[in-house]
Amino acid sequence: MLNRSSSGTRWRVRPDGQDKVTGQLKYLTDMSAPAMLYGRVLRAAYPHAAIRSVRTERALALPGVEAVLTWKDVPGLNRFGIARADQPVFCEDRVRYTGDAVAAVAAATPEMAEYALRLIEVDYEPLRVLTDPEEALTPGVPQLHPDGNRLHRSEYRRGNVDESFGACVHIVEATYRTPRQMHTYMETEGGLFVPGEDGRLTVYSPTQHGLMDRLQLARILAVPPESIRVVSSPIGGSFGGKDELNVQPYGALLAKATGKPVKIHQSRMESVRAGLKRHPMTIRMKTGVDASGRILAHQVRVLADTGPYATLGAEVLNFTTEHVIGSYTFGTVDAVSDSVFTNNGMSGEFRGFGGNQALFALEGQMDRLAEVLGMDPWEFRRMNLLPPDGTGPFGQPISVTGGALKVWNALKESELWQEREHLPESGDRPPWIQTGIGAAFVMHGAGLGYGIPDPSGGRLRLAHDGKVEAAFGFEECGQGLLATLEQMLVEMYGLDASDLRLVIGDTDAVPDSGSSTASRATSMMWQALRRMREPFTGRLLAAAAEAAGVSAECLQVGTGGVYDIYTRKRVMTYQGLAAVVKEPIRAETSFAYPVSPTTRIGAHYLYSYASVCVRVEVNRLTGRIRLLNQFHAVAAGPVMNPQGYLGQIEGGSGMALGFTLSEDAVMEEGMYKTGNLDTYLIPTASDLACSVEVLPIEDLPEGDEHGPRGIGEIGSVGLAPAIAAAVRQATGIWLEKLPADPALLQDASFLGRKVETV
Amino acid sequence: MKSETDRIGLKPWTCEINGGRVSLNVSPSRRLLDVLRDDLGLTGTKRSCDIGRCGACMVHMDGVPVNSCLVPVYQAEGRSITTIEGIGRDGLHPVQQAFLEEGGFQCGYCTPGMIMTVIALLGEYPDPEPEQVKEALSGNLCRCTGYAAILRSVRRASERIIGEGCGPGGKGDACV
Amino acid sequence: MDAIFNPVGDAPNVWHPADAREAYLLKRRLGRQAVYVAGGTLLRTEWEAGSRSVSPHWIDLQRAAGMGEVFMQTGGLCIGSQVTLGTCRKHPTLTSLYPLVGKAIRCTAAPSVRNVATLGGNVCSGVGDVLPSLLLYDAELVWQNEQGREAPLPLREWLELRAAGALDPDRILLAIRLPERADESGIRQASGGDDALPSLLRIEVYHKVGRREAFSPSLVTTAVSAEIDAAGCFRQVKIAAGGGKAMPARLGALEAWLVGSKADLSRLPDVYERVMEEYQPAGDIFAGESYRRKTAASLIAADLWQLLQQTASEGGGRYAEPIQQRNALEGPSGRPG
Repeated sequence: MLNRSSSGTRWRVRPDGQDKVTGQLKYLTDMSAPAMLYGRVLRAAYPHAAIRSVRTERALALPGVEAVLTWKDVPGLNRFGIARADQPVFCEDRVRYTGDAVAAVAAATPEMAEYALRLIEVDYEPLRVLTDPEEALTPGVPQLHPDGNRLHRSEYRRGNVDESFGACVHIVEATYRTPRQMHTYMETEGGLFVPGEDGRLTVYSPTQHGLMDRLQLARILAVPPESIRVVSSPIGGSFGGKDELNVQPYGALLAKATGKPVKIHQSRMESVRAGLKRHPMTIRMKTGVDASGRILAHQVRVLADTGPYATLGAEVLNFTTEHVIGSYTFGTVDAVSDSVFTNNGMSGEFRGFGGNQALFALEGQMDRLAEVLGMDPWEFRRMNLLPPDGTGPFGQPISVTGGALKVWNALKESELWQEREHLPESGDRPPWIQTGIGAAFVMHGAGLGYGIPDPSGGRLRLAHDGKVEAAFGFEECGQGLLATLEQMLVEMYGLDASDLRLVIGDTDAVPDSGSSTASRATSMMWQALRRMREPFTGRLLAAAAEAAGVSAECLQVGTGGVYDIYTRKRVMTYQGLAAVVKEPIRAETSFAYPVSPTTRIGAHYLYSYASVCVRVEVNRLTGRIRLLNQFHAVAAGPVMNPQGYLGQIEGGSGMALGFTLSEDAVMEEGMYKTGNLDTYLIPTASDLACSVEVLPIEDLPEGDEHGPRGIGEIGSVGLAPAIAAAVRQATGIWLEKLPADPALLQDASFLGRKVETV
Repeated sequence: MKSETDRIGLKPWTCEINGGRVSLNVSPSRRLLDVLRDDLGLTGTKRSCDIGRCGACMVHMDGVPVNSCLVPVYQAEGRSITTIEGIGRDGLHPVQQAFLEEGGFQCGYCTPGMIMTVIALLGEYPDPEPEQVKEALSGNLCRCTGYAAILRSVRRASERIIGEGCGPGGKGDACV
Repeated sequence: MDAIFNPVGDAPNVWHPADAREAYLLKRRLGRQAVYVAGGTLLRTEWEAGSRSVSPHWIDLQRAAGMGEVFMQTGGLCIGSQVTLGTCRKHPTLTSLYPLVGKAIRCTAAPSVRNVATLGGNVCSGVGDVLPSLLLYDAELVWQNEQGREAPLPLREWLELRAAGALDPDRILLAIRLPERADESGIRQASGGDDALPSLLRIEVYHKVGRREAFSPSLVTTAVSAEIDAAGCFRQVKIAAGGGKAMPARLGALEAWLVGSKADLSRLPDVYERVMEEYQPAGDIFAGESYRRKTAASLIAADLWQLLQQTASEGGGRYAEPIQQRNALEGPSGRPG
């Protein structure tokens, strides 16, 4: 099991830890500047309306107000969106959700900015509100975009399912529904936007990909990207939610317009209203087996509510389609997924990226099928696992790790799973407390997938002050990226943490490493460091050899400097070396995330595997579920950073508990009913005070070139279906909709009343 | 460019912050959170939900934890406020040390508030029962860690505090 | 619409009246422009949400004299309305004599909020989660009006008058009075010993059901106390329920039906049905009325089931440990007989 004591000296104090526990760390929303202005955004008053006019005169006349901007003030492209630029910076003639921006204000105080917003007069003509993706696809409804209300359709077919269903002995059909989950990063969106005297603009605002923000902002401002510097770390949590632009366009435009620094820090209410959420999905599955338990046919229909604009909605949907097939071999498959525009809140990228919804449904089918067959659900899964020969969900070639069988075995042998057969009848519990154990199997793709540019890279150099500077275009969202980078440099290069300077999150200083997303950053840093090791240390040792007048073969890299491998004495400090080198010592690499030799857009090549086992307790008086134990086995290659690895699985799983039990950003008529954290309920320590065991499976086949696989998302996927299986064992009731509705789990039959059917 | 209307309602206000006396002219209705962050530059106290539901803005007022977003400054008049900046100024507090060693944080945004809460808990109950830990932490949300590492940090801090105070003998089950 | 925190850019004026009478007169003078502020935690939530606009005049009650103490007086315990929930939670007399009030406060918000929020504020909201426990102990409210201190008004009556809109909105809650307990526990506490009197079987339980394990808005709250006498009949039955926006209320009809009746498992299905009828929940998007009714009915019936299990296992007679110490959502862990 992974923990501090089993990790020994590999369990390290994070380089950003001291500043975090003392409160000294300056988040970008903590920044301020002399004479700065406060920016605010006017959001749409209706979820769907035509804008007849916008009058800003009264707001502009207010003393202390220095700018009021609308779409007319956008010098460049009045649109943004990572994959498809369809979201207005400021709406021109129509608003499509209540987070849409109509205007923005910069004023001397937050109160004045607030008041100025009230003085902006917008004439709306409310339009029919589309709240249901199914309705949005029916003829005659308003079309939210020129190409209609379907953002994207993703299909996959193999064989003839209709024929195969005919040959099935058992067929299970179910419809699964998942909630509009909010990322709920503790730091809401914001930052400081500082115009420079040289005409450049510095943007201090969290994002998962600084260079992408720079590109998008350059298009909006109609300036060259190099004239913008984006400083984007540290980040108070993101989970995908700050991948897309949020307040940056407004801060940048206001700073440009006023020539003064502008600070924006969104309230939680505004963050809820404007920010991304996980796509609510309805997934219908029909899956059939033969008498021996082989799955012959699998039919899937996915309907995703993507909200008003695209962001990465299409890419999320592709991921879902891949993962509703997932780790199993099906005789025939027929999967059709649609992502549909509505006037609800924005859906978009969120840890797990459409896999969470898919796996809740897919694993639910596995449990139901095993039950109708009278088979052990875990054995049933094994019988239908993809062959370990490197075949992926779409039949595409994938990198072989052997992880699937290893996590399968680890769960089977776990104490928790073995207790499943011997659950005490009721023990010392009152009759309304019922317990159950359930499990789920997860296969999760990493990287952006085939057909989407996925470059990465990094840079090392010996700086003038003798520090070894490692520069990557990644971001520290809290996941421990800096800690992992430091640990890899220490363990792979033999350097000491004190020799290092880690440079991230600043577009003026970093190479393009791609986005800190899709469980890819650790893999890519490892890959880059592996590629740069020979060239960098070679140059370092050659320069030291020349300066010291010895042979480079006698030297090695070590703590604080270069050492003689025979005498083990330090020949030269890095500081000394930096002072005498004639040519800069540096190495740089760029490469692409590995992809499958396939033509299927979005298909992945590298996968991580996990199995999750839980014990739950259901109180039949209240219908409430409590998580008692968790076991996670994760096969994702070697553990680069034990503390970070454990934290990702525990933290991901905590997020998944909310997805399962309490989280849903409820909307009515396009308006959020959960405006803040008093109604949108993420788990507390009391909800998660259960035992957690994490078992990493590190080994990879001989000759594997890809090293550590991603673990940033996989912990957030498997808990929901495992809980659903455990609830079934405890109560005999299947959960089909998340978060679980306690009303479905109530049972007062201990009183001698008849069990009510619900 | 501040307008005159903005000056209306300013009142002299005095309180003790991190051991030092602070006197300002402020509107008594302003939130303590805003005065700490914007007027005094004490940005270790974080803003997140604005309604006391997340604990990111936790400070001590006369030794007990309060959400500084819920406290209008007139309620803090003449009282003693401790923020994260007032903790561990002569070397890390055992609670900070425990969070550092256990990795009881990730993004760190909830961490100052969490640490203020745990310091108050262990000040009152150096060896808390699991129910006491749960109750004390119920007002501090963390989205990154799933709380497991935080609960381990609480236990480690408790062991350290007990170890320093009255020899070994921590129960070590604070988070079960 | 966006929350309007500070409508005109002017900061609200904060008044610090010396006592409740002065506060009352101020409120009368300033009218709807003014709002009483105790801890202010609920107000802050409403202001942020935009469900209430910020008043230009705040009348601070916390510094007003005479509302900040907890003391014993003839006939019971008096808790000043400005005493924080945090102080109440740790008050030894309050939590030992009226344990369900302590339990209800433990289930309200989080410690840091309770260090600011007041008991008076929880009561005056009309839906505070402490109310069912106060109802159970027949709490009375002492109010200040223009003339001065009014005669104590039973909490039950106040809740009904409030629902009917028949109250002077400006009067100020001075104190919450908890009468001396006439039941077994009260007598025991008063006599200072557990062995002094023959024991009865009894329970005293508070439950709060929310949408997560802690710091959740309530869906259903219940408070139950009951005893079984030597003849095997229910006595001293008190049952209250609330939760969410429901008006907390005693289930008087059910209490009357139970008192003096044979304490028997066969009555529990009827208890369930009677709660379903008598309890008046308020549904919302998070939980419907049906769920709330079933939850209250199940919890109350289960509490009595637990009491009857004591009869089965103890044969009556020995004082059984009250179970209110245990976590409501864990379910009491008493072994069934």
